[in-house]
Formats: sequence, structure tokens, C-alpha cells
Amino acid sequence: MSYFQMLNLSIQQLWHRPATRLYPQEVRPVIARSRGRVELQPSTCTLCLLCEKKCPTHAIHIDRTQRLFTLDRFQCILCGACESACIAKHAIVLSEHYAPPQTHRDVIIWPVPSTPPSLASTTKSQNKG
Amino acid sequence: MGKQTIIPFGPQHPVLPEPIHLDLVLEDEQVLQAIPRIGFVHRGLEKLAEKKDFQDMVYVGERICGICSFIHSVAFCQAMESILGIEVPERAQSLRGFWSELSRIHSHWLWMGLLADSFGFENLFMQTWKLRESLLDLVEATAGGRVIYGSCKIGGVRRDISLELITQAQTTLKALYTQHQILASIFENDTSIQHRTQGKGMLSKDKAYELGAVGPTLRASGWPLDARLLKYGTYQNLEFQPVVETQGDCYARMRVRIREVDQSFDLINQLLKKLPDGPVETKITGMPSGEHFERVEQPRGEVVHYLKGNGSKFLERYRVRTPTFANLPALVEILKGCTFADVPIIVLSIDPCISCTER
Repeated sequence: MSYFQMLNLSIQQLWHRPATRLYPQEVRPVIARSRGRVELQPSTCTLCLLCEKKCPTHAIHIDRTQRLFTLDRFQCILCGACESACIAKHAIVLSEHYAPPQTHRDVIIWPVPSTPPSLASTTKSQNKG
Repeated sequence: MGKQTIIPFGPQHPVLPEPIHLDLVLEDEQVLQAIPRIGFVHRGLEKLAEKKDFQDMVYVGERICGICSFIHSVAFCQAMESILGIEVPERAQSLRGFWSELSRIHSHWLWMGLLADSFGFENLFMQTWKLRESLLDLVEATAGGRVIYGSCKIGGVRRDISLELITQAQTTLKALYTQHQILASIFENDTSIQHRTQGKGMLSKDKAYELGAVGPTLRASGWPLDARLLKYGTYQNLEFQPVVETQGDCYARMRVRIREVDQSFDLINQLLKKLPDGPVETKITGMPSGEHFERVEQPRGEVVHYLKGNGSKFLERYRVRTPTFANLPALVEILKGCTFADVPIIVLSIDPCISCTER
């Protein structure tokens, strides 16, 4: 009797599509809340250093003199600490798209354009507080 | 007395997802003794607590194990909250319970697949893991990660889930429950599975208690012991009875896990029906000073997290006693007297997780 249960299940599968995807032709749909990769919007970043301080794996390095934001994707554990620490409006976000594979162990550098004076002053006062 | 032979089993073996080495002393086909050796994946995570901020240690705690990751972080956070005297909001506790039970279901399905694979039932293995894949998609949709949930933090949870997601979760879980019933019936009734598991690896009730077994290994020998009965977190509002079997063989351990999946579905239904509103996190104040001993039920059994703080942001001592470590003496005992061909199934029946054990 029990043999027929498994046989039944197997035969049903003959009329179904495969459970796996034919990868390059059929890509997995992106799931909205996935923690895929860290992305920076350089135009809104105020270089406040909070994300660098909060990062548990020291994946973020910020050079304020040269205005460079450096991210090491190999160090990043996608915890989302930087995203929740960010005081600028969504300057650093976790995108739902996964990072593509890399052949070399290099870092990503985003040059940050100079900030409008109003935003810079807010950041400074908040940092002091 | 026949000639004795020592056969090395592991650390690399097709049925073992993780490395454990056993020296099997055989007489003909019969195992006389099994000498375990662990230490292949030691990472020194406990020592790391002395150098890492206690808030960042949650990430390390979650990475102790790749299967029961979320429950490790829950245990760490609950211990830390007790030391700091933080009250966790009810909604956060319920969400922790929700993800814990999801993690229990996917762990048991992983184990059921591996069991089918261990005696060459590839078809059933694929069917089980197909189900698990749908559940992992649900985990990703709610928590953001498939394996590392990254959702637990000291004082609450990082992410809230919307009403839309709750409805989606309920629909998915309903469909998965129906499919689980079909698989459960096959696992319980198939004659080839019964032939390979019934009467194999017997662990008597007294021996299980004496050797300090935990989790499904202990419950399959007739002890109704479950750390969730301590009513930590959200379990104080849920109604459940631990799943108990009395035979103490591999088949009983399998049935306990299958019925625990049913139980987890029931617990999630109860949780989602009365999910309270409100905040999901509270602010952390102060530095940890004092010690705490936290017991939490994982898919594999009871895990113990011991934390000791000295008033600075670094912990003085962090100790984890994982369920597989507690089940190893029982494993050595039940291997005695079995035939060599049954060793893979018996080793698998305690659901060994060696990364947990060695930390």
C-alpha cells in the first residue's frame, strides 16, 4: 500500500513542470525584502561616519578629506546595521538584488559630491550631540 | 571471538553534512565500540566575545550554526536582555517565536531529506527539499535572508512584518502543510523506511536520561521534556504539549520530528492569529554586568547560552552548550551492537550539527 503512495507522488510529477529553474533563461524573481547588497546614494550621503562606526565587520571606510566612501563587499555580512544607523535620507540602503560574483577581491569606491551647506550643518550638530 | 577491525568513518562521508570522525571497532559486521573525534571546524567564537562589542556579538551568535541560526541569536539576546533588565515588546517576542518555528520546520525537513538520502531514497529526498525551498522563500520574504535571518537584536527585532506579509505567510503555510501531510504519510508508512529504521539504534528511557540526551533524541525515548515548556518569550501565550514517542529507535526519532513539524505549523497559526500590535524594539541602556544562563529549545534539542558581563562593553565569558554535544554520549551508546550498514542512519538519527558543537 505504502509503495503506491510514493509511486502516486512520482507519477503526479510527470505532469508537472520541473521544480527547478532553467537558470540563465529563467531568473529567480526578486523577493522584495531580501538583503541583497549594500548600495550608496552618494548625492544624499553626508559622510557622518555613523555607518562606519556601526559596521560590525569594518567593511565600510570613509575618507572625509578626499570625500570617498569605500565598501568591501567581501567583508560585508548584510546585517543592515549601516542602513538603520544612517541619518541622511536613505543614503545607504540594502538593495534586494544580490551582488554579482566578483573575480577579484577589490573594494567599491563611491566619490561623494560636496554636500549642500544646510545639510552639512545639521550633520555636524547631530554628531556633536 | 572474531578478528577485530577498526574502520574510520568520516569526517568526509556522503551522509554527513558536517565533519565528525568515528573510529568504529568492528567484529565481523557488528560494531563493538565507536570512538568519536571532533574538532575539524572549531572557529573560536566564544573567545571572540572578549574582543567584540556585546551588541555586535548577536551576529556572531547567529553564525554559530547555519541551520538553527535564528534560535541561537534568540538565546543570546534573551540572555543579554535578562542581564541588562530590558523588557522586550510583545510583538517582538511573537515575531521571534514565528521565525523560531519557521526555522524548526525547515530544519526538520532538511533532516527528513537527509534521512531519505542516507538509505538511497533519492526521490523522497528531492520531494522533501522541494518543500523546504518554498519555506526558505517565505523566510526570505519575511526576514530578508534565507539562512541568516539577521532579524534578532538585543531589545527586540530589526524588522516588522506587514499585514500583507502575514496573509501571504498564512496562505503559503497552509499549502505547505497539506504537502507535508502527504510526505509524512510516506515517511511513516513506507515499508522500506520502516525496514531500515525500526528497531535500529535503541535508546532506553533510563539510558537516555542518564546520558543527558536532549531534544527529539530524548523525547523519542519517552521523556516529555522540552525547553519551550519553560514558557520563555512568546511560548507563555501558546498552548502545546511536547511530542513524545516511547520506542526509542530511529523510527521513533523520525516520528517525533515529523510530528514536531505539525506542532510548529499549529504554533505559527496560534501566533499569527493573536499577533499583538505595538513597537518591535526597545532602547538598550547600560552595560552588561552580571551573569545569566539561558535555555532555549532548538530543532535539535535544548541549547544553553551562558553570558557573563563585567560592566564593560565586552563580555567576560560566553559559553554555548549545543544539543549535538549533549547527544554525543547517547550516540556512542546506541552505536554499540549495531551492524556496520546501519551506522550512517543511526548517526543521522540524532541530527548531528558539528559546527554548533565546536563553535
